[in-house]
Parts: sequence; C-alpha cells; structure tokens
Amino acid sequence: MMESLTATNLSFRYPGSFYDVLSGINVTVKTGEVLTLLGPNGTGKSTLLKCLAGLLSPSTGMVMLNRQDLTIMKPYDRAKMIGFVPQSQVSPFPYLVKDIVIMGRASHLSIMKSPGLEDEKIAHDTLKIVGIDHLAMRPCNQVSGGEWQLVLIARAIAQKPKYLLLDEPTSHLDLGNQMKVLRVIDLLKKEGLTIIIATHFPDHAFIVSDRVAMIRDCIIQKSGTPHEVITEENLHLVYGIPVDVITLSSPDRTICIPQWT
Amino acid sequence: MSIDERHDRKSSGLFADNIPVLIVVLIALTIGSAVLSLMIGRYWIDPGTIFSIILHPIIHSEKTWTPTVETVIMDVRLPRVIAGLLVGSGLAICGAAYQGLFRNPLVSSEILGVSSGAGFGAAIAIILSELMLVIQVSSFIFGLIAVGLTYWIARVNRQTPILMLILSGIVVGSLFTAMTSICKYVADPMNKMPTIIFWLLGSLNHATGYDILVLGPVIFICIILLLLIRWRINLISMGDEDAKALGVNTEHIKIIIILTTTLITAASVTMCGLVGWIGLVIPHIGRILVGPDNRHLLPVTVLIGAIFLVMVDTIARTLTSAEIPIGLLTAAIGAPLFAILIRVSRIGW
Repeated sequence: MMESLTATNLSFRYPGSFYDVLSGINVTVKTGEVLTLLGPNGTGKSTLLKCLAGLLSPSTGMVMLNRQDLTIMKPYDRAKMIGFVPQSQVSPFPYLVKDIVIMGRASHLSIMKSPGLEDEKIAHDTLKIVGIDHLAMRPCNQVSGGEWQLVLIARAIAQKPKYLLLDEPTSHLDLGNQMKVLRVIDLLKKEGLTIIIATHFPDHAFIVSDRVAMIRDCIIQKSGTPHEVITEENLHLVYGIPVDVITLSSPDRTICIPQWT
Repeated sequence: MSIDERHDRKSSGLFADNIPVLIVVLIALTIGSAVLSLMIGRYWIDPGTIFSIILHPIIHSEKTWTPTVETVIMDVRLPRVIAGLLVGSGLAICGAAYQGLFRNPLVSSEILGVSSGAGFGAAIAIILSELMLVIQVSSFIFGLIAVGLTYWIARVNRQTPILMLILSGIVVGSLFTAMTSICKYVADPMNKMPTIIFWLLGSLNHATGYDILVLGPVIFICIILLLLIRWRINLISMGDEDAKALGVNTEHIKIIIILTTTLITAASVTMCGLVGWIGLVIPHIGRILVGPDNRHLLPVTVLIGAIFLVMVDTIARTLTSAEIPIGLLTAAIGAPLFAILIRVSRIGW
C-alpha cells in the first residue's frame, strides 16, 4: 500500500476563539518529497503542521495517515510514523543531550520501561547522522541554538518515523547553522523520509523542497513546485510587500529579496 | 579527561559516574539511620537487643530483655521509624515527580492543594470529634477532595493544561487554607485549638502500628508505581506538546502522577500531619548528586528522603525533653543544609 498523509477539508479553530485559523484545507504529501509551508506570521502554518502531526485535532475535516484517521490513532502508533520537531524551547532541566535524544524511543517502549542498550545505540547513531555526537554528554542548557535545533531533529529521527514535520527549524539561527540544518534535512530526504517544513524563508524552499504551499487567510493560496509558486506576484500577494525573485547563474540558486524604497 | 569533559560531567551531578556506588551507600545510610533511631531515646537500647526483639516472632530466641524495652521498640520506636521512612521517601518522590510534571523545580506536592485539603479535613474533624480515626479519615478524604476539585476546575476540552492545574491548585489551596483558619478561629482555644495547631505542625508521634498497616501499603505501592514510570517523567517534563509528539499519552501520565502523589501526600498527612519542605528540597539534593535525569533522580530521592526524615525525627524527639514538632525541624534543618549545598556545589539548574 502506498503511504500517504492527507488533510481533507481541514478547518481549525482554537477552543474559545471565534475565528477559524484554517478553513477548508486540502493537502497531500507524496512519499519521499519535501513540502514547504510558507506564509506570514499567524496564518496557521504551525497549526496546520500540528494537525498533520496529530498534535491538534481539526475542528472539521480530517487528517488521514495511510487511510487511518490520525486523531483516533494511539499516540505511540502515530509517533512511530510521524516525527515532529517543535519550535525550539528550552528544557527546564539540564538533561544530557544523549538523554534528550533517547526520548525519541518512547513510542517503541511500554509505559513501565526505560530505554535499554539498543535504544542507547540508536540515540548515538542518530546523533552521528546529524553530526553532533561529540555533544552527547553535554547538558542541554550548554549547547548553542543551532546545536539545540539539531538535538531536537535527532530526537525526532530516533523515533524512526516515515514522516518528519519541522516547525520553523531555521528561525533564529545564524547563517551557518541555517545551512547546517538544511543539509541535515537534505540528507534525511535522501534516506527516504517524507518531510514537511514550515518556514519564513522562501530561499530555503528553493534549496530543499520539491513542493511549496503558500498559506494566507486560512487557506492554501498556491501550491506547486518552488519555481511555480515562489514568484514575485505570489510573494507580494502573501506577504503584502514587493519582493524581487532573482535567479543567480553561479552558484545556481534562486533568492528572494524584499524591496526597500 | 579534557577540561571540557570534566566540566560536562560536573554539571550533570557530583556522583553521576558512580550511581550504583551512591545507591549502595544511601541504602546503607538508610538502614544505619533507622537502626540509630531505634537505639536512641529515653532508654538506650543496643542494636543486638533491637534485632532480637524485632526478629523474635520469627527466630524465637530466648528473651533477655524486659517487657518495657520490648514495648518501647515494637509499639513506640519501630512504628515511628517505619512511618519516617515511608513519609520521608514518599514526600520526597512526590516533590521530584511534581517538579518534572510541572516543569518547575520550585513546586512540591502541595501545589494541587492536597495538604491544605488534608489539613482542613483534620481541623474540622478535631472540632467535631475526639476520635483519632475520624480525624484521620476526614484528613485523607479532604486531601483527595481538594485535588479532585483542582483537577476538575483545570479540565477544559478533555485536557488539563499544566498552567490551568497550577492556577486552580492555588485557588483550591487558598480556599482550604482559609477554611482551616476559620476552624482555628472558631475552635475552643483551651483544648481544640492547640490540637489543631499541633496537628498542622506535624509529628510522627501519633503514627501507630495500625496506621502503618493501613496506610503503609498505599504509600509503598504508589512509590513503586512512580519509580516504574520514572523515565516517562523525563518525557513529560519536556512539555505537553513535545511529549505528545514523542508518542506519550500525556493525560494518562498526568493522571498516574497526580493520583499517586495525592495518595502518598494524603496518607502522609493522615499519619503525621503537615511535614513541609521535604518535597521541595530533597529532589534538589538528589539533583546535585546525580543530575536531573529522573531515571536516577527518583531512586536517589526516595533514599535521601527516608534518611532525612528519620534523622530529623530522631532529633525532634531526643533534643529536648518535650517533643519538637517535626514540621518546624524539617524547615529549620533543611533550609540551612540546602543553602550550604547550593553554595558548595555551585550547580545551576
């Protein structure tokens, strides 16, 4: 059976609120692709991502994972399929990095069990994949913002999911760390993961993604390949300011520059 | 070992590399403090006699001691020591579990109002009745009612957000504290009011063998349950959303933690009144020793809590001719001890 993660006619309203954050969203991620969600602050990119991750239940419509309703799946079954990398927030306790990453094994262990040697090994391998195995014994309050983002990614990969959903993984990172994170995402894509990223950087969509969905006013305005969707016209529509989209010849890249007049 | 590595290790706890050794030492200290507490008192009783008395029902050795000594051990000191071990370890592990659940190293088991509720239950029963059993049952039940009320207020949309729990815990706690004050205000100042005040200050004095038979298993089983799910406390301390994303049924874990800690605390208050400070400080001492990982922290916290309360109780009943309320001593000894530890260890969390 083809694996699939699909939102059908999805609407979401936070409890107690009078406004829909999302309404009538239809989106499908194809196996093995990287889908980027773009849109201004507060349009519901994160909300959509959390609905797709099964962390929020849609008010109407549904999210189906392999033809199963995500909201009625057991949390541990869901977590074996979908890894979620939250917007980084600090841990209140200075757990060691390896102990944070090993938390990714929770869905594979029964409630009374602590992780064993095999889980330790998986955690260590995962740290190697994202390239921070030298930080394993470091308390997590003593790593930089970029390293912490990689720790969170490692924790999600330790779940051994098929889907990886990342909520603004490159926000508040410096240029070097932004590229480090994108490199890891690219690597994971090559390993066969299906990836959805919510981001504020159209440039990054050009670098890593196969498909882009632009969200504004509760709905997906445009979707398609990065070059189809990230155009000067669409960027103007979504962000409300004129943006130049410039294609460089060497290196072969496309970048977006907001106009300043 | 490079400077960097040494730095790493130090920040994860002074004994993070030698946890098995530390556990063995702490178990030895727990047994040692229990035996010491059985020896010391108005009568000095040597350890050999103590063991013979305790093991007498099993081994049937020849009686070389007076009936008075046997009564002192079996009816007075032994229940007290066992109560100290149970309540000390129980309150300490509750504190550690709640600090993980509420993602805040400053909370203890009082946060959801169980102690205030149990205190009120005792106060109102003292006014209305003379019977110890009535007072204890009332205390236990009101402890559970208080937390039930907190949980009910905090529950919105089939979820109980941590912030809502803390807020409603403060509300319910204040309500029951106010009602306890009313009880004190209206109580007969000659006999009832002092009884209420002494109860609220806490003492292992009224722990009987019967209490231990009834409430001991409750505390013991809840401690075991918390120890079994201790790794999940790491997960839930990352926050509801993170824990959910990792595949944890957060509402289940919350209910298990709240139920076990409430039972432990209510049983403790029922047995020996309000003993504060342990749930707050002992987990911190544990963190200084083994770091924040609850897989190691919880077992260590259980042992330190037991040692601490048994020692403090020994002091409470031997320092002066009249007994000092233990609630006062846990703070009076715990606070400076804690201050010294913070200064010496210089570990930030």
